[in-house]
Amino acid sequence: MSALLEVRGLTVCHGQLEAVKGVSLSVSPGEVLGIIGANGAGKSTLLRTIAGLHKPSSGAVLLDGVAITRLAPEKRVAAGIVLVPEGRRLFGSLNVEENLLAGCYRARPGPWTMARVLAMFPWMATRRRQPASQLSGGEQQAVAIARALLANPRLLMLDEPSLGLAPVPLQRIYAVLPELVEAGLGVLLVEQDVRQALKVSARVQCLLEGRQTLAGVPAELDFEQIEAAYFGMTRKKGA
Amino acid sequence: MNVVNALVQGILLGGLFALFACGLSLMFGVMDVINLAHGDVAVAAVYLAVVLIPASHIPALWIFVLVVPVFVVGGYILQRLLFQRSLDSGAVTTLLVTFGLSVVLENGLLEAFTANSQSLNIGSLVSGSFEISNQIFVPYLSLIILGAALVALAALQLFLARTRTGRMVRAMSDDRETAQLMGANYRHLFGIATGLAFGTVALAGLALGMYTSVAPTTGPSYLLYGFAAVVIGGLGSLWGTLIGGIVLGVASTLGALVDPDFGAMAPYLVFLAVLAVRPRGLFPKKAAA
Repeated sequence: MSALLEVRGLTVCHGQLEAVKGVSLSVSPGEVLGIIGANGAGKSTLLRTIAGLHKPSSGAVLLDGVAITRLAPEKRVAAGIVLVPEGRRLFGSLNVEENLLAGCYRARPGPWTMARVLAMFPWMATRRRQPASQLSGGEQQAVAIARALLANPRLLMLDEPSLGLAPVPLQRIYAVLPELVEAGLGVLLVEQDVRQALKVSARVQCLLEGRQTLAGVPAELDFEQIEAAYFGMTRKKGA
Repeated sequence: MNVVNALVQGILLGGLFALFACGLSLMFGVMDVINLAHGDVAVAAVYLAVVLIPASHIPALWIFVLVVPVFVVGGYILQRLLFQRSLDSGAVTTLLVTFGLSVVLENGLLEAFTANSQSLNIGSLVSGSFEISNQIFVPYLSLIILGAALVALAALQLFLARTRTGRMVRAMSDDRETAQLMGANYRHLFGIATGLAFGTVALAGLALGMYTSVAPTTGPSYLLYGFAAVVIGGLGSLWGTLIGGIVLGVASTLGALVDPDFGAMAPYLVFLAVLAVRPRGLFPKKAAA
């Protein structure tokens, strides 16, 4: 299977700090790649760079084998890359429906329509006039994902969708993932909740201080390996 | 009866203030830009009309058909070429750049048209009025200006509430980065917002030129009224700006009842009072977000 997204040796600096150091990855259509790692491991920076919000100091981002490393973020949406940012980031002064319509702003043609999204989250139809700022955390996350789907992405990036959610809303959010994957979406998932990431991902990669410390298929990784890669507690081999 | 008349005249005058201020409100609401050249842009519109009226043979009352589009396009271009660069390097830079633009416009107009004041001749309409009761006369021109202000504000409001582009402009004023993640080109949308702001202030300038006379250096004094209307109404709220304009207008005419000189000062007293009691204005927009 050819890769939808390919990242080669990406290094991203915030001023003097190298937040991401030489990370490579690839995501195929219909595949979930989970990125795990502790706070400050560079996971969000990685996603934001793929979305075009940060410029990498070296490395390349390719979509269908075409380099998009220097493309403006708004043009990546039209190319099919959509990020659901950390903390949901709904438009607070817009209501639920307007937030969803914002997702349609530069939508590509595709299977995700307002009707399909509302069928997936029926409560949104009845509460469409409610200001987004009044929703609960789980509801906001659902709107953020629905908003992203309406752009008809080929690659959906989710940044910490579980952040601040109670177990039940969390399960509701993750319950939609299989349908997305089945529709052929490539999903790049950043998740601090390792168990959750291992459960839904076809492959996982672990970042530690911006560097990749582990990559593999969840079933083949044991807990100690992950712990070591996550916290970096074993002696670091020369990386 | 005098008081009622002053109220009516004040509301009518408020329309002009609101029309003048809504562009300021829009630019601040969307981009956090305080355009210090706003008053000078209005004055420049009058001078453009002074040139265009004899050349095009369009009557002064209808010259906005030519002038407003020029300013909409000009605003867009100015945003893309000048304001955006300064926005990228910080809020203070933008303030300085718009101040610089103000100075350039004033001196450019002085150079080209001398310091003589100009007004737009609309014939008998300038003094025509109709009578509501035996002491209350409503000048046609004031009513037209109030009507134009209401139409402009309603159109802006509809644009922001109902259109795809308008919705994205609002989304962008909430969270520019996330709007980009939805595919919004913020430079383009900022350009549109500035274009609309310049269009409305050009309209206000033309109204001003029919109502009274302007000189190249009168812009900043109207900028003050605009600021007051925006702040009283609440930063970034369009209907608040209309209320702010009307409050100023009424304060001015009621103040003039007490003493003609006090009429010029009363709006600023109200401005101070509102700031003291409700520092975020009467209808703050950003508090809800």
